Amino acid sequence: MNYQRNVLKTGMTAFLVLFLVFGFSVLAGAEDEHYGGWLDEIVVIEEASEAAGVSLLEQGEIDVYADTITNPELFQRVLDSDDLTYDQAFGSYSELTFNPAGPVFEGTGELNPFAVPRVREAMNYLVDREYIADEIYGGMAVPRFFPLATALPDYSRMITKARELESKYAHNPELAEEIIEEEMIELGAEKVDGQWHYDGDLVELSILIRVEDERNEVGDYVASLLEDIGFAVQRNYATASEASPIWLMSDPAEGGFHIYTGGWILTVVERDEGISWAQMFTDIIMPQPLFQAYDPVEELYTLADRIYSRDFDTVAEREEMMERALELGMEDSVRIYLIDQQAFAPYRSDVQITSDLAGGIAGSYLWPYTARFRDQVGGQMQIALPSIITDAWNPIGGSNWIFDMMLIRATGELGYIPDPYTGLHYPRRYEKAEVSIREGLPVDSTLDWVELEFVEENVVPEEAWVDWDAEAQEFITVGEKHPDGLTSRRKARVYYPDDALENVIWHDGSNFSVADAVMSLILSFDRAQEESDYFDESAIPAYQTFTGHFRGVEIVSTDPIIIDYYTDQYYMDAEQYIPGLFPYYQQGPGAWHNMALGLMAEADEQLAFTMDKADNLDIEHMNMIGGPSLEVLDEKLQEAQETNFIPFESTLGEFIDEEEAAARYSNLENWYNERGHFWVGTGPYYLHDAHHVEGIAELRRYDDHPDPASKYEIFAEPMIPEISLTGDGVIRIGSDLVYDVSITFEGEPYPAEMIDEVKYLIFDAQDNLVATGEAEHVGEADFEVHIGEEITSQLIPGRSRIEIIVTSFSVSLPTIEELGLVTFE
Amino acid sequence: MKEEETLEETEKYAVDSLEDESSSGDAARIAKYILFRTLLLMMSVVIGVYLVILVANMGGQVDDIRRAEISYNVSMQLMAMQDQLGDMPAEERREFERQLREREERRLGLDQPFILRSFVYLRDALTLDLGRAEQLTSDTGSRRVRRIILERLPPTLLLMITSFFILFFIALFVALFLSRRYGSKLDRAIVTLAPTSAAPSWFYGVFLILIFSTVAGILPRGGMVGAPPPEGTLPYALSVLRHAILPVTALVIAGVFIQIYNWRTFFLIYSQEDYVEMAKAKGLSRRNIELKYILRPTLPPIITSFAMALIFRWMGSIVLERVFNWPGLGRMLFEAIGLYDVPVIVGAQVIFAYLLAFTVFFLDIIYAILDPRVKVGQGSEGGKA
Repeated sequence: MNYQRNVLKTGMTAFLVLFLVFGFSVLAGAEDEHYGGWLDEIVVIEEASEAAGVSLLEQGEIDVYADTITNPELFQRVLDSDDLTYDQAFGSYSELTFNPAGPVFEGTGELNPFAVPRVREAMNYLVDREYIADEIYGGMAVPRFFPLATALPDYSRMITKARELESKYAHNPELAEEIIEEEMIELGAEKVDGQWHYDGDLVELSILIRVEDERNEVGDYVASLLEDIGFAVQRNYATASEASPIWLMSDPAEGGFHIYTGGWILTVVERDEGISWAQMFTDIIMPQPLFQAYDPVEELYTLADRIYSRDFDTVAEREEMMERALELGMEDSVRIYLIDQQAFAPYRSDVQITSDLAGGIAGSYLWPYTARFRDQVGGQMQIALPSIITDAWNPIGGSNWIFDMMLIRATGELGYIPDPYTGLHYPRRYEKAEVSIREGLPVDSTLDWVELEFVEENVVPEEAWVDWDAEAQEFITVGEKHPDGLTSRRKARVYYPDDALENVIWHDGSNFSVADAVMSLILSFDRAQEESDYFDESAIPAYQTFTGHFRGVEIVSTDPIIIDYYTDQYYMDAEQYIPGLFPYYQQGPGAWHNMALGLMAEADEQLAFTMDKADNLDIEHMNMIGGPSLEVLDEKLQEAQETNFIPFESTLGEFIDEEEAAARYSNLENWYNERGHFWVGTGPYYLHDAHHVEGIAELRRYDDHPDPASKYEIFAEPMIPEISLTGDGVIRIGSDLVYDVSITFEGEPYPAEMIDEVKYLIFDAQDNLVATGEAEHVGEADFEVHIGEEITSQLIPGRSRIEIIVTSFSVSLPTIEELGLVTFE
Repeated sequence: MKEEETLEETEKYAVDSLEDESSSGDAARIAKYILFRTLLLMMSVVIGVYLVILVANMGGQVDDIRRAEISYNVSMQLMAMQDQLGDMPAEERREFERQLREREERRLGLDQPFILRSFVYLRDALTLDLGRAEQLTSDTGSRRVRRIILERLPPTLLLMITSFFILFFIALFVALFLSRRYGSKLDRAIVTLAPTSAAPSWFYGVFLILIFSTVAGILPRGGMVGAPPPEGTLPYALSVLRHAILPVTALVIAGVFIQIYNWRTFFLIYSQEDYVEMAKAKGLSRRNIELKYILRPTLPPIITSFAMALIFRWMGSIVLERVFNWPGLGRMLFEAIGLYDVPVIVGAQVIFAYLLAFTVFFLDIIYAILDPRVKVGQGSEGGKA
């Protein structure tokens, strides 16, 4: 099996490389000299109404409405239109949160049946998730049972156990009623005239129902189900603001609610959802009173804690632990998951754009690289978003609104770029990386740009920088701070491309330099130290987190740039979050020279990078693209030019000479005079103009971008496998069977190298899992499933079924196909 | 002609006499009256603004909502940072979360009791120190309430003042016209259409969008200017004008029929007064009769209506601006209410309260100037005829 996986992995990597190279050469040859993005201009407008957004699309006034919509009627309009198409995103989900206090609320003296885990578990049988997904959400949702999102990698990894449990907890209202009745009697309640009573009073359950979306109907549905089995139900309708003081912040023992219709959102494809049990079933993570009242069985608590703390040696061990956690989570059911919502982002059919599987178009990092009109180079694309330029833009503490970040991502770039369909990181500004992990940690690699090795120790060299002296404005080395030496769990050696210093150019025409990278490291320390002129109290918590795992940095070479980074932080995928200091801050790109102006303004207490500091000092929050900040920054630019200001000169002076400083400020001055703002990045588009009050932003293609527009074409759309399953639909118990499985994408055989696993599951007529295994690869994208007599003899007469589950390396969403089997003796 | 002049002179004499009488009145009485009115209006402003503060804070309940939101948001912030936090020990994570939560609570002043803060809000509001918003930012990213309001004021004024003047003058002239054609087909049509003003402007806006944008495709469905905005002042202005046609039309349609009906009724009443009949009998020109014998006595209610409508429009139209995606104060206020952003809500209201108080105050004076029958300070203390 390991051998097979290795072969597949190697094959898949080779395929990706070939695809990249092939795509690059063909497209670059066909559409050469088009660098940055495909489009000439992107005009972004504000349109808060989803219905109006779809109307604008229908009328051809916009090309993309980049919000994720969940309205089934609007979805139907898009489906009915020949001019429109869409991408799906799976970022939000709904659940029922139970109040676990009791069984009698101290505050009200009322009975709380949901204090009993078995009653909560029975609620899984009572609710019909298919009904909720199909009827309440109009088909724009899929049933969900676990804390793992059905579209993300961990669910694919757990798919066998997950399908088994989904079958076990399928809708069964009779069983639910039976269990609840047993437990109610055990609690001392009695049913009088079909109504539950406790201590002579009617048992009344309070459901806190959110009104903003479909959860309104979900709440009513659940209330009706409970009324049907003898409970009186009080339906309390509330908005998020009204509900949160009750469900989240009140003491559960006060009895403010029994059930709350909860909902959560994911914005990125999480490759590791291991925190879910600790967060959702225990008091480990969430500090609010409700979560602090969670008291799971010890085994679940320990498993949750261990999975969260990554207390396991291998990936296989983690999967084993998670399988058990899935079971125990269902038994605990302090919340039951209902559905994963399938939102859609509509756009015109002649448009190509990349959407993130979790975050949609707005959450995608790749959208500016792939956005184009099909078979056309150039042109102007109109995109509408519910809101834009909502807050001030600055790289450290500027706007973090998802729609602002969508635009910011077009203007800047990280050292790596997340695959929108699997969450794996590909190199962006980096060439390659070597990752050394301390032996015994569960880390694996998939892509070939990262070389993974396991070592006994990662010893941090004495000359590596490990801390910062804000007074002297110099780094403190490992030798100075840790004379006895220092080790780390992970070391990443990052290689920038040989030509990075010549080819990577900031939008204002300044060449990228090592100083930009070092500046980003300095600011990780300096702003949190009281001795600094730029001290910001709000930077302290992040600084503490950072220094908690940071173990050192060494600049091995400045041309080409090679950086060694030592940290105790690691991820199960070696490719994830390779730290190479490329200057993309929390909220966007920043070159040392435009950041320097911000620092000068902050030192003079005229502007502040963060809103906290701005509020505390009653000054303006720094906005590099508009408002009163511009005047201040312009003033600082003149000052910087006069003094040829080099920030943190004791350190950065080593990397910046006076000539470079003068040239950079001159470039920035020209940029400001031309564009009217100080936002410079290295992304495929630059901010041409921002019309703040009108709610319009103009992005234009950056001609000097080093990469051809075709570089990320392979990510233009997700390669979700399609399954064709053929074989006997009527089977005799004890017979041998063969089923044929063909896997395709858009009618063509699915690349075999990209197929991770093809599994089968056999369920009997009572939904019990009878057998599971892997299909046999018989050629290209064709597989066979052999079901022997020993399996079919375990079936019982009725409707059995076979499920085929395909997981792919190119998309984390598993594809499931089933075939009903009429089974007879 | 001679008779007409004589009548005018007689009238002038009468008005002059009244003015003389007024000017020769007790200055102290007028000063006392003005002081009393000022105090009364100030008290109204204080009470009104404090009530707004209480309502906007839901009597302090917004604090609970805020704390819950902060707690939730901080937890979500940490979830989003999970990759950076990695396997941070749970204790450290909670401490980190506590620090973030407390900092945000401090920033919003939640470490102070609401009742104390309510008086700080009141003091700041009355001194027009509008301060900083809690959540909302201006379009250019500033948290200063003054800036938030000022940036949105021009689009609102453009929309509202344009529609207001169109509405005002159409209503005035058509009402005058109809007062001379009482019972005509047009008059009956206006009377019939008057109830249509019960529907709000956005209601007509939706239909206008449907007709002129969705079906005919000749006018934009929303926004203030084309995207990208045309370069150059004239093309920009023309684009704004084009975008303003539908919302302005919606505002005019929503108000015009009832306004015409009201004023036409006023004019009819005044045109049947004895002195008007007398003027007609004397053979004065129709224009003179309309201007001096009908319009002038109806000026006080018209000016009141004019002034009140003007200040009520300064805050824009919440729903209409949303329907037309118009970046005005109404939309801003809607967002502020949704976010429980008390400083912004109070800031907008306190300006309105002051405008209202000043308007009422000046209307008292203007009444006295325009209408000779008005006596200051006669009868009951502070009363007005």
